[in-house]
Amino acid sequence: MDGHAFALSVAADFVIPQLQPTSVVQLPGHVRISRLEEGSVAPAQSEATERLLTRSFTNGDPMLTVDRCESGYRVCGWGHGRYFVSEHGTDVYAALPSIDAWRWQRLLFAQVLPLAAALQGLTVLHASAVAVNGRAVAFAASSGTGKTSLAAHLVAGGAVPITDDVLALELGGGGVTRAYPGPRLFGIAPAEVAAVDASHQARLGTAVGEDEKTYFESAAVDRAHELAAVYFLERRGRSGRLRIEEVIPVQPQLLLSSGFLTYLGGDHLSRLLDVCAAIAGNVPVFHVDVPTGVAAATLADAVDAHLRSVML
Amino acid sequence: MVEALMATDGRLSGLLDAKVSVPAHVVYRPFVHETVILNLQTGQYHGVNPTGARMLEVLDRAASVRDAVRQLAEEYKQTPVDLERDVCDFCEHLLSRSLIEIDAQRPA
Repeated sequence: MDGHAFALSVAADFVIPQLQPTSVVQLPGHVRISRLEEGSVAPAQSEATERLLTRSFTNGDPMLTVDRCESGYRVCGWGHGRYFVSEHGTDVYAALPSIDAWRWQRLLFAQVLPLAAALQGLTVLHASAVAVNGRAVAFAASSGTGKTSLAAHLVAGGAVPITDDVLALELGGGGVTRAYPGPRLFGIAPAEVAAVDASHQARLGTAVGEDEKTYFESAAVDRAHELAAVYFLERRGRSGRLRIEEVIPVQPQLLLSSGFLTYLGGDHLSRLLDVCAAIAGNVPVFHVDVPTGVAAATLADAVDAHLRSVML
Repeated sequence: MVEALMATDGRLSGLLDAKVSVPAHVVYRPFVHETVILNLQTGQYHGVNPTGARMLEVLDRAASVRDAVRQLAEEYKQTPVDLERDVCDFCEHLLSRSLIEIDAQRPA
């Protein structure tokens, strides 16, 4: 199956249902994904030389690990599959468990393809994004703050869905930063789905699975969009009114803190610095102070109104 | 090399005649009101104000710290003597974070 996500054209020898359909636009990167039998080892895979990332369940059991190997990277998500990503991100080998596609795709989209993109020179941020009037708007925040819920409500209001959790960026000429679509899989809390007006729920897409979130196959997006604004969301546990303020001057740490896959170090961090410097110089950045109890739908209305007043 | 330059009062008094440079593992980019310096080996980011950024740029290109002081003194309309301490303090700050290196092979 062919498709695209994170600025990579993807050629896979198995079906990956929630990839974006094949793009008519030439993309900066390319990756081949080959499926292995569960338990088998990828060609040229060697023992891990360095543990780069560990995330654990609350009981301490490993949930996600990323290891540097001699000829690439090994990504393991317990219950979600094992992957080997080649040194330069052009080949991925996938050993998948026998679970629904929406489940094993979560690791592929959350970690593996962003890693492949970063190895091929893209910059990846931990952010959701939508497009409004042909231009991309990114939302960065700590996990659990509501950046996906915000994006979902904006999509329900007519925005184009670009990405759920990881945003791939590339510097173009003249200070323009291009934002590439991620996969067509958005995980939305059921309460947020219920909060969307029934007449607009179809805009979220087609439900393909559910655990603590409902996973939607969103509308297809076939091209990059110019990044027009970045909103940083913060919930500080205070009461009062919601505030949206432009950040002037932009604090470098604010942008750099949303960098993803920083364990790669080296050139990846250098490119992150380049992209953040370009954003700071050319893209309006806003801080959104979200008080306790403000629902994502209310936040989306405020952000939508703000967007239309300042940039559209 | 750094120890050889230390005088008894702890200042890098021999530094003025040395050549310093930004090593390959350090990159820096201007933001709107500050310049961010990234040490690729440690992954640490450091921020300097516009004056510090200009000092870094001149130090990297100058044949010696003393030459950098002369150039900066002209730019900022100060006497070299007044600027020496600031520039040496700044070099010490950068050296402690491995953001510049002293070229031991090239006396000024």
